[in-house]
Order: sequence, then C-alpha cells, then structure tokens
Amino acid sequence: MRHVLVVDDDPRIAELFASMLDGAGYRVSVALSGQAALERDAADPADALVSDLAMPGMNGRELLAALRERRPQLPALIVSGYPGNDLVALPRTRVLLKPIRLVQLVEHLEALQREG
Amino acid sequence: MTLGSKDTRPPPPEQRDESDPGDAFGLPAQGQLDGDSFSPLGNPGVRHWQAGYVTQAGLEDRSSVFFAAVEMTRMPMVITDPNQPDNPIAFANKAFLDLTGYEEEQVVGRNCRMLQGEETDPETVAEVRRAVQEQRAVAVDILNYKADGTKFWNALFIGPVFDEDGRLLYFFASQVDITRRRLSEQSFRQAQKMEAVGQLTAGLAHDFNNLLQVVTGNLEVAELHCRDNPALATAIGNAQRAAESGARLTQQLLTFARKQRLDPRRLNLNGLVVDFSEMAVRALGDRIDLRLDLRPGLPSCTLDAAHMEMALLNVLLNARDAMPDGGVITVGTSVLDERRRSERHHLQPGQYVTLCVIDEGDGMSPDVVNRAADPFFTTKPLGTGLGLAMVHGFVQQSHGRLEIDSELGRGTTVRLIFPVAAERSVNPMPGNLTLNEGDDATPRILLVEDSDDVRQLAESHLRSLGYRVFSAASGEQALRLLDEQGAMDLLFTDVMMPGGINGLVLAERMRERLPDLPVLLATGYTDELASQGLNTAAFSVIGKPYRRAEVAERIRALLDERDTASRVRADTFRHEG
Repeated sequence: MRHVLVVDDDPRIAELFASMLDGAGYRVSVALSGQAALERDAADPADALVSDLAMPGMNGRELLAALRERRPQLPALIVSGYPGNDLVALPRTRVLLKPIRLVQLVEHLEALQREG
Repeated sequence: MTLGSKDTRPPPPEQRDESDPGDAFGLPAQGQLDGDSFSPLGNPGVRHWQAGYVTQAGLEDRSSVFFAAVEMTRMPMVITDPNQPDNPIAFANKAFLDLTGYEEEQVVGRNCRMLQGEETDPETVAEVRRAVQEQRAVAVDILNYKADGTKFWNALFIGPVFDEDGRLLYFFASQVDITRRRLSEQSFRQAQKMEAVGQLTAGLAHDFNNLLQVVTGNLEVAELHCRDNPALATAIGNAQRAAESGARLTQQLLTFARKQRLDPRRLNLNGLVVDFSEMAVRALGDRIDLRLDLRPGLPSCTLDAAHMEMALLNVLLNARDAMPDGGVITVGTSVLDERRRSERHHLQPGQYVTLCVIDEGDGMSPDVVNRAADPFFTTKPLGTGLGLAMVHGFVQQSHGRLEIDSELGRGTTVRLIFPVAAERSVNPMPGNLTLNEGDDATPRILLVEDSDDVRQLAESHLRSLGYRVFSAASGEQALRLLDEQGAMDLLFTDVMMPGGINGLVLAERMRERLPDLPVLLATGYTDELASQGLNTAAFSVIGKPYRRAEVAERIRALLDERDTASRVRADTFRHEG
C-alpha cells in the first residue's frame, strides 16, 4: 500500500493530509473533487483512498462506490466533518470524524493494510 | 379581521334580501372575520352574519323552533346585555353549560371574563374588549378555563345585535373547544422547528470540523518544527487544547442534530438506572436525596447505553441546579399509557417505556419550557445550552420523545420515552407503508421526510384530511414504494435529505415515470436551494415550518389543478378525434 489517493474539496486539508503521508513515506496523489479523483485514479491507480464525504458534485460516498466498482478490495479511510454513520459497516472502510490528528492517518492506513 | 374603527360602525344594511319587513336581518361576514383564528366552518365564513338587527328586543319569547335549535345545537352560545353594568351574560345555551361545566345560575348575571385565567393572553383579551367597545364582530382563539379549572382553547366569535335603528341591544358569542387541534398544531410546529434547527446545527458542526482540521493539522506540523523552542511549544499546546475543546463542542452539536454514531443494544432501563445511580449520587452531591421508583418487570429497550447514561446525567444535573438548596430528585420508570402515546406524542403504534426525572425545584415558565431543548438556550450563568439539546437529539435518534412538564414554583418532570425492543430482531425503522382505508378514488399521497417526528405528524394530518398516505424516510425508500404500490396522485417531499436522492432528484425521477405528477416540496431554506443552483421552477414549494392549513390548501389546489388539466386534455382529445 504505497500509493494513496487523497481527496478533499478543501485544498488546505488535502495539502495537510498529503504532506503528512508524504512525510511517512507514501506516494500521494491529490484530487480536489470526486470527479478529478476518478480521472486521476484511472490514469494512476492508487492502493488506498483517503477521502472527504461532503463534496460538491460527486461526494465521497459516490466516489468510493465508483472506485470499488473497479477494485472492490480498495481500502478506504473516510475523514469527514459529518460522522458518516452509514459507512461504518462497509468492509475495508474506516470512518473518522474531523478534526483528527495527522498521525492517525498513518495509524489507520497501516491498520487497514494489516486487515488484509 | 377588524372591521373599521369606532366611527365607522357599519350602518344597518339597506337590503333585507327577500325577507319580510318584520324579520331580523344581518350583515354578512364576507370572509372578513376569521384571520388567524379557527373557523368551525372549515373555510372563511361568508354568509353568516357578523352583526344582527332585530325588530323585537327581549329574551322572553322561547316558543319557536329557533329557541329549540339554540338549546339543541352542540355549538355553545351566550348572549350578553351591554346595557346593564359590566355587560353580563343574559343567556347561555345548554351546550355552553356542557362545555364549561357551569350551572346556568353560575353564569347568568356575570361577565364572560369568568372564563379567563392566569395564562389567558392579555393581548387577546384586549382585542376582544376593543371590538366590544367599538360594537363590532371579532373572532379570536383564546385560552379559557372551565368550572373545574381545566384549561381549554376556545375559538370565540362575538358579534353585536342592534335594534332596527342601530342601537346596541346585545352581544352574541359562540365558542368551540379547539384544544386538541391547538396542541397538535403546537407539537407539529415544535417538531419542525427542532428539525430545522437540527439541520442548521449539523451544517454548522460540519463546517467547524473542517476549520478545526486545518487548525489542528497545522498546529501538528508547527509542533514538529519547534522541538528546541519551549515557549513556542507551550503556545502551540495551548492552541491545540482550545481546538480540542472546539471539537468536543461540535461533537455535542452533532448529537443534537441526531448525527451521533450510536451503538444501540438491548438493555433494561431499570438495570441501567440502578447501575448508574451510584455514580449519580456522587455527581449530585450530598444535598440531593436521590430516590428510585422503578416499575418491576419493565420491558427492555434497544438503546446506546453510554449515550443513555450521558442523557440521564444531563437531566439529573439540571434537576440539581434547579434546587440550589438541595431536595429530592426521583428517577422513575413506567410503561407509557396507550392513549397518551397517540394523543400527546404522535408516536407510531407500539409499546413504549418512560424514564422520568422529577425535581422539586423552581420550575420553568411555559416560555422557557418551549425553548429548553433549543441548542444554546440556557438559563444558567455558565451553561453551554447544549445539555437538553443533546438529550433531545439522542432521544429522537433513538425513535423516542423528550417531554418536559414544568410549572413555576412546582418543579419539573422530564420524561424520556423510548420504544420497547422488539422480541425478535426486527428493523426498528418506521414502517415503510401506511395504508389507510379508502376506496380507489381516494387520492394517494407519497410523503417523504427523513425526520421521524415531522413525518409522523404530517402523516396523521394528511390522513385526517382523508388522503391515503404512503410514507418513506428517504428518496430511495420512496422509489421502492412507488415500485411496490404503483401510481401516486401527489408527491409531498422534503428537499434536504441525507443519502444520494434529495427531494428534487426524487421529484425528477418520479416525473420520468409519472409526467403529470403534482409535486409539493418542503424546505426550511429557500436560499439554500438557490445557492446550490437547484431549479425548483417546475415544482410547487412550501417553506418550513408550514402551517397545517397551508399544506391542506396547497395539496387541494395541486390536485384540483391536475384534475382540471386532465379534463381539458381529455376534451381536446375528443374534439380532435
């Protein structure tokens, strides 16, 4: 799980998450919308997704569904200002409520990897 | 609803229809009177008189069928005599005695203000008084009291009776008890208010969480770069703690907005209360005497235990704060009475249990009670105003109700009402389908609303108007219902709903299948529609909170419009063919 796709419509948050993961040794792609994330992933598939939920246009829920149509096993970390209760039950998915500590990103990605 | 001032009292009407010269005659109301008050006619009164002119004064003639009618009608009526000091009641019919519980000799000779009491609105009384002074008709909804002290909402109509020359002889007044309607309307509006505030709060919490993420994330980055600068590290630490407090606050807001992540499990409230009471005693301090009054054999509920304890603690702390000098707090459990369930709470059928916390403190005024669960409303110097708001959110999210009974000087009872757990694991979501008896001609309305309480109230209202109601809690559920149940006559949907299908998307998808389907959209934020670039032009929109009469009217208008349109089309078709 070396390549992570970070998606958030707030560029400040996308950049924070990206720089944290970059510092932890991941290769990071950034997209500021669900649509851009899909295009990005088509060109350069990621091993894991870190995404916001509420975004204009395609939201995080729809993005996750679209990506998993291609790769059902894609691990996903959803980080949102809403709790995203309905996603908790999905396999290979973790849902965190903002604000999170940046180190948690790495911890959860590693945990997802361990889960297989 | 006023009819001109003192100087413009209506003159006796010139035309007496086709009646005989000796008959009494009157001035038709022309729909001017009802205003915001209740009309027992179901629509504005047009032809009934708002002022009467009689050719024969006096109350002695009780020989005709008209007197029998007055004593037989179930509409309470009185006649007062303004030519006597203090305008006393000169006559009260039997229905009036039935309504108020007074005996005839207790009312005749007294002024009607005997029906007023502590909570009667002085403004309304003043409005009535002005009309009486100006010798004109008035219609108001006023809080009155029966002989035994029971309060009731009275839809009061008063009109003057003159002699042929326009000299004032009497006032006529009729009354209707509209208490049930009033309470139901009140709880409907309250539910809508909480729903709107909840949506607003959730949006606010979401935006703040994003801002806090930017703040805390950057603080973390800064922290990494200040290892050798203790002053900077301290400053960053302080900022981080403040951001953490902010995050706790937004968590509480999300609880109020019913967006909390709950882990409901089967539990017995008696057990929870007993387990929690040790901790509660410590939290309440030694000036509070905590008593338990638990109903043996209480059925179990499906609740998140941790949040339930937090809710109970919140209510207990409020009770403690209401008694600064100490006192008794009782925590009780019981099974909710079936009649109370449907009449007061509009809860889905089923068994419910109540957890109540009773204090002997100062109590609250009705105004404070109404706002007690609003977020940021507090009467405490250091309160956050989120305690009861969170309790409300939790109870709602658990498909229950929060109810507060309080009176100044008499203490407060807070009730948390929860559905009893199903015997087997059945999805506790509200029934997708609610059928109403009715023939095939009864219009079928698809009602979509994600808030349980607003949906239930709207449902019972629409059903009382004679529609067949199919209700769904989401756009997805609504589309499934359409598949199962076939064509609908009208879609009444909330605009903002969680999930992929909001009200507008739903309306569009349904129109693909039923092109002429009348659609009524409900929204709390018309600005929101515009800012999201949503096009509502094709649909009829009603603002939240809406009045029930308004909904009834809009739906009737939409259905009429569709009927007319389809008739026109049918005619055109015939002509062409």
